[in-house]
Amino acid sequence: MKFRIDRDALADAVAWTARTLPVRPPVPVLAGMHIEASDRLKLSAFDYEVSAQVSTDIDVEEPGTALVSGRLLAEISRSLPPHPVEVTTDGAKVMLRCGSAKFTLLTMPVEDYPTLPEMPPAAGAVGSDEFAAAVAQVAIAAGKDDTIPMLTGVRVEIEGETVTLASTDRYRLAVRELHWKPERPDFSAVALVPAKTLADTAKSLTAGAEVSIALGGAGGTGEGMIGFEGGGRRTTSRLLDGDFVKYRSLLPSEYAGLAEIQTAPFIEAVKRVSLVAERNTPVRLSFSQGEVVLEAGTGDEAQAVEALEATLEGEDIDIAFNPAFLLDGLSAIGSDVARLSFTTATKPAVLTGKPPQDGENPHYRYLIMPVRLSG
Amino acid sequence: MSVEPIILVIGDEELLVERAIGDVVASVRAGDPETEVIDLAPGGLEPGRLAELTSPSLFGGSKVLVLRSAQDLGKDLTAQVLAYAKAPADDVVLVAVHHGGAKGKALVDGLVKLGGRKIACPKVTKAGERIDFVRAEIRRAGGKISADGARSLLEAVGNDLRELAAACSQLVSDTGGKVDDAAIARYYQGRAEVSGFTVADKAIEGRLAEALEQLRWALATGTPPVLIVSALAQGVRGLAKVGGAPRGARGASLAKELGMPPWKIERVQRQLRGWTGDGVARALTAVAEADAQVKGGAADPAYALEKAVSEIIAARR
Amino acid sequence: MSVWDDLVGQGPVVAQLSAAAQMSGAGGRPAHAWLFTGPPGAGRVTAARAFAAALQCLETPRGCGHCASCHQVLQGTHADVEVVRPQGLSYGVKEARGLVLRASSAPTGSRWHIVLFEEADRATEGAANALLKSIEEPPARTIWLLCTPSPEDLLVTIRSRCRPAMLQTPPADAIADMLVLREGVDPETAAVAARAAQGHIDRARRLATDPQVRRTRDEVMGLPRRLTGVSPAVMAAETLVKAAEAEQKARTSELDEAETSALRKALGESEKGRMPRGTAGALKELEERQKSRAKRIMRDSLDRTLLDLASYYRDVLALQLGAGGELVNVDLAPELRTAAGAGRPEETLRRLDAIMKCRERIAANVHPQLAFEELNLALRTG
Repeated sequence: MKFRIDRDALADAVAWTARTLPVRPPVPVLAGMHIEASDRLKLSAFDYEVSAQVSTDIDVEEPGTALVSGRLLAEISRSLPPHPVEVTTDGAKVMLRCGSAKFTLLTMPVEDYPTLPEMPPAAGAVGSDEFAAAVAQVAIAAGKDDTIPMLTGVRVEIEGETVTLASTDRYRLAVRELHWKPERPDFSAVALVPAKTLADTAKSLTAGAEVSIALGGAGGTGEGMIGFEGGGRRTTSRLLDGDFVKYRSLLPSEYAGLAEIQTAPFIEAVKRVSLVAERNTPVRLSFSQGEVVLEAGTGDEAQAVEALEATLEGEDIDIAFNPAFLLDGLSAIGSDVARLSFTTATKPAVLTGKPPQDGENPHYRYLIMPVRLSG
Repeated sequence: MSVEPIILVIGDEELLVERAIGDVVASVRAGDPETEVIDLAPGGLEPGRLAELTSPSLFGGSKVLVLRSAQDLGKDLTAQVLAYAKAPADDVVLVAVHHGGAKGKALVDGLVKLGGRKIACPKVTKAGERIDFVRAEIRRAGGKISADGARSLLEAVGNDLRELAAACSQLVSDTGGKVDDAAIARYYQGRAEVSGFTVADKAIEGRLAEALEQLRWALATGTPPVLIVSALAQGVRGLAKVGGAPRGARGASLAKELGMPPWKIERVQRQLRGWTGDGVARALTAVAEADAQVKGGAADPAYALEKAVSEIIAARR
Repeated sequence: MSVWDDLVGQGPVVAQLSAAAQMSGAGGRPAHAWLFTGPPGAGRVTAARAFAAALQCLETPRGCGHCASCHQVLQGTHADVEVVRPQGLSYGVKEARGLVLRASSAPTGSRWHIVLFEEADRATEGAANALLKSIEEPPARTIWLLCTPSPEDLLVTIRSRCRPAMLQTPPADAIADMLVLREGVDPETAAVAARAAQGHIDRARRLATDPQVRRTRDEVMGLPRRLTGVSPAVMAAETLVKAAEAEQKARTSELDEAETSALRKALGESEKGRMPRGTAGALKELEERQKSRAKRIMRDSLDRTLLDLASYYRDVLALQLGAGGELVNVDLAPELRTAAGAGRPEETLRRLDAIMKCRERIAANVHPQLAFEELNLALRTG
């Protein structure tokens, strides 16, 4: 194998691919980065759940493959001087020459490296920044308890031009809708993607303007996988098996009361009030015309009290929530003004931002279940 | 909801405890198939979380909250649990699992006083209790078994209640209800081409090499050691019974007296050649020793069996 | 060449597994859970791994052993074959839950998603219960392969859901043939090693190819002769234990070195032997695993010594009771005959008991030398 490559191109490609290298490789070869030089250069990393591959231009003299320590390659390519890089294999070693600098890497058996999963067929494209933001808003509500795998994933629903992301841990549910460009106008698919993987992937594919999403049908290529591609980089992730809960029926269609509070002060107040109380103590919100009173604790002896300005449409209401869940939602709505709609103190409340245009439907909804008030 | 809101499962017989919890969950599920079960590991109840845990989730529906090792909750958590128990939520069943000792008595007393239902799961220790357990399990699965049959099954399976319960349910489903000795023997033969009975016959007939080889084969193909010991015991016992029968007794009346079919009696009579009373006694001792070792989890049950076979043959001389 | 090449004397099991591996889709599908049982050293894990390779094989008929997929499975790196190797003495419920979660995903490009659980008997009851649901109703393309010494070692509820693959004790001549063909050992050495190993393939291989292992065995088998007095008996205990330790050290360092070197290279060891930042954790983990394994190998080594010694006395007993059949230690036949004539079966039985007692002592963590001293004194008097 022998090729030349631009120094920055190499450093970027290696750095991005190296994010997928497992810190504790289940087998030593997975700590390796797979190098394949043909008409272009392909670098790959895999941890059995997620695969990453980047494709970049090179000047190839002799095609070939090699497997070298991913970390070492990443460190070396970070510290290369600003000259073109020449890569050659020499027996059981890989040599990098860059200007007057010379580096040697020992190779591992390349035939032991597992075959990377095949990319499913491309289904459409979405703006990369919007995608990253949307995923972050939803992944936050996913469950972490692995006894119910279904709850640890984000449901990705595609129906023509609309993509809906949803996740829940039984106590809060986040739903976000966004528009995208499907390959076929009638494309329809559903997938359950591990939340952490989806969040990491979306964050790291913001180099290009768009992200292409690849999803197959049942029994076709790449069943059980989802792929993302953008700017020459592609990743795949295993999908979770199992049916997601029918969450649409949980979203209330009407409300009895609607409150509006400035988001930033609300977040600060909830934080302060729950700091003073014992961890996990629910925070009680008493809404009346013009204000909301926050108390830590649902019993007779409240442990901290604060009041905030708030507008209220409808009857006064006392309702309590897990403070961490409430804070997660408030941080995710991405709006200066938070809107909380309720029916009763024992039914789910819906948190959204205030839409820019009145009457517009919010693209993001965060459903949160109240905690029982005692006494 | 028809299930009591507060249930106390108290005792240290694991299988019965799991059963009790399972029964509660099943009753709640009968009323609401989407019931959420929160099974907290020992020490899993964090202070302040009880309100949240006993609140319904977004998916609504009933909840069963299981608090394991409730005897270890400590003063504060016990107070929180008792405070909850005074005014429990409608759709929540709280199951406190207590191992039955003196520790955490305040919780037990408090919950009982507040009307909690107590389910006792005391440890099963006596043989008689185990026989009752087996017979109840078979009945529960819809079948029938005699006390002797239960004893046979206990001999074959051992004392672990879980294993016994599983064996009982499988036996009933295999036989359609009537569980007799033949069914028990069949259940254990499975794919083993050589049963313990062949090993026993060869040993009693003094064929050491064949007996040892058949023993190795039986073990290598997965025949459980307990079954081989049981077969050896039955073989030697047969010698004693037939050898000690009154002279002149024969045919149907002898068969009836000994509880063995005539063809078997004739066979044992042939096998008796070469045996003395003393020899049989020594053989029985050897088998008893092997039985103790196999059931007592000896380091090498294969060796224990080889030794028994060798001693039976040595006793025959 | 085929994936089954590493199995010895398991004709029926290979036929059963190979047939099952050819099934998929229209013709029916293989059972979704299998239990591999059999005597120690017969090749349970080898059989399970070969089966996994055959199931995923890219060629027809399946099980070629040389396609990219077979290679990766046999090397243990295949993306859709997860190998579970319990680290400590037991495998707990938390790990089991993680495993169940992973087992619930579809394969990433192969036919099946396979989970190969070595030593499944190490799973605690809690872990077994966590696994039960997944083994009862796994997703459509997941296959579980469990390995335990015998069926009773698993919860009956799990056992009843698995198709059994029962390995048998490989006959000595099959092992001898393998040694001649694949290790290039001369037939006479192969025959002796195969018999002495009592069905344990790896043991036979080492006896036939490693002079140190043979020396240790000779040392052990020479013990009965050396028990001429109290003092020699006690000294012999020290020699025996040292020999077992030496064998264990050699074996462990061989394994450790290869593993450590591969991992260091993978994590980015420089030519001068320096390691990058942040790799200490992974190396420490490997070190811990190797320590546990070293302990297990040591216990196995002492146990092996005792089993070898027991085989001596079982041969003597067989001779004393006039049982025909072949001796395990054929190479010691004359000495065994002399010993058989010099004593009574009851004495031999007592000696065998003493050996079993020694095994128990060692399992209970009694200091090996002490346990062996007690043993040697008992062996001396009979």
